[in-house]
Amino acid sequence: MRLLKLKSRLLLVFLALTLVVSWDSSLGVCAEDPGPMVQIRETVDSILLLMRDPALASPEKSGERRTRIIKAVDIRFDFREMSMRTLGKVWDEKSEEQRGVFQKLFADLLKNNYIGRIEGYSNEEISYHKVIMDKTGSRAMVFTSVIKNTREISINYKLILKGHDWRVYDVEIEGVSLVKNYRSEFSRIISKEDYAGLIKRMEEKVRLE
Amino acid sequence: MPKVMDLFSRHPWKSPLVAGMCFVFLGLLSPWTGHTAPGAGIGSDGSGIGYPLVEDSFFEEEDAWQEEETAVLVADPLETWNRLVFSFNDLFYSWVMRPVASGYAGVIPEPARECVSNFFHNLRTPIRLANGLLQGKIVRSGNELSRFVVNSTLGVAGLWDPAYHWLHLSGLDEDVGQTLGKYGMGEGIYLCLPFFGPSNLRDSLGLVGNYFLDPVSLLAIKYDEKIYYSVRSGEELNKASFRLDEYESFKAATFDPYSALRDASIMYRRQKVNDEDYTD
Repeated sequence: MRLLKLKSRLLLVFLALTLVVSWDSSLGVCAEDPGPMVQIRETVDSILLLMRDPALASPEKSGERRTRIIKAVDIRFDFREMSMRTLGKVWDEKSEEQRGVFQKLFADLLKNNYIGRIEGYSNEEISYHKVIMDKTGSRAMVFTSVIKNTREISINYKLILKGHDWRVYDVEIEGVSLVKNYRSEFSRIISKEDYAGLIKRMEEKVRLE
Repeated sequence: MPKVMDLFSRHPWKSPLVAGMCFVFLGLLSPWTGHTAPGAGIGSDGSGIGYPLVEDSFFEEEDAWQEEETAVLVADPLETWNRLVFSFNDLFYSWVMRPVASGYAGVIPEPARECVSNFFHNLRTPIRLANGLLQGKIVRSGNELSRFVVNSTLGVAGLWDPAYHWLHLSGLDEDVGQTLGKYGMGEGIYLCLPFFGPSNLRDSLGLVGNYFLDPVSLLAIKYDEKIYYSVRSGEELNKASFRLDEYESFKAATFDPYSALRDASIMYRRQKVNDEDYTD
């Protein structure tokens, strides 16, 4: 009788333990999944794959390659969040329609200028170093670097959690923040030429490409 | 050894400081891509996909994005003069440096140009090593020294970089300007130097220090300034040949290249001064 009791108790302990362990591991999966670094890696890998794809390498396919790269970028980059942070106070004063116009122009400007440039990096190795998060767990920074001609260039992504997706709202290349740089550029233009002047100049830039 | 004053007086256009130029100009011109030594910046421990660290301080300035008025990054009281120098550098690059570098890149294959760049990088070890030690980066300085020994011997006088490719040894990217910054010296005002490009008071002072730690300067000190200038021009030409379209794309992506370059270079240098060394 006593032995039975001991056995059932042991069984209980065992059951409890397995429960705790499985609960813990499921929690662990929840916390890690999908994770900002994993998601950045997915995006970067998918873009590298497109750039290395021999089927897309011919000049007549460059348009298709570009469209597909832009699609991959759109999944991971949050151009609304970027626009908001770049305009700052000015963003609050604008109507939803005006915000949409700005966001489209800014996204086009960035895509035109940076997608062409990453093509030179298709054969380089990318290292993923670490992730840091803020206390709320809703913002993260992923530290990566790329080696080009034996020089290491640091590229860090700042991400914000939207639902289950980590979306990029700023990129720092060698410590130079994209959002910060454009924020001061735009605020200088706005103070001199007003908001309409900024939109006009952005339209000109985007059309030039 | 010339007196320090010689750097500034006599023939300013012949002095090593001013005429040493074509030189660092390009490197500083493109802070977007930088020219760091392998391993500079963040820790090179590639495995770091573990649990994220919680560091709120990194996001503090993010929270201010809504309140922040026009952020002034650096004082630029000499803006009129700086803009003039910027235009000069811009013309010099577009009309002299770029065409020559692109012709050179067409003739000399990339592996050979890489050897040239490796050679000069190896030769400049004293600048990085001294400043790494001054900043207390002991482990990285040790790596830097090992790199020098390996690359000078196995790498045939530094022409190749077996220390990186075989031993995965990455070094430092430190200079006198960064050391001064680390010791608490402020940037002072922004300066756009002819040929050297974007700088500030502290980093300009740092350039003088770099000159005296640079073995290439011995050419000017012991032999002939003309040889020194030719060697330095050649080196910078070689450097430029790797970055042919960078400046153009930078200009295409910005609205006012002068101020965009000023802001970018200040952020770039601040990061260089504050970079944490995770290995030490």
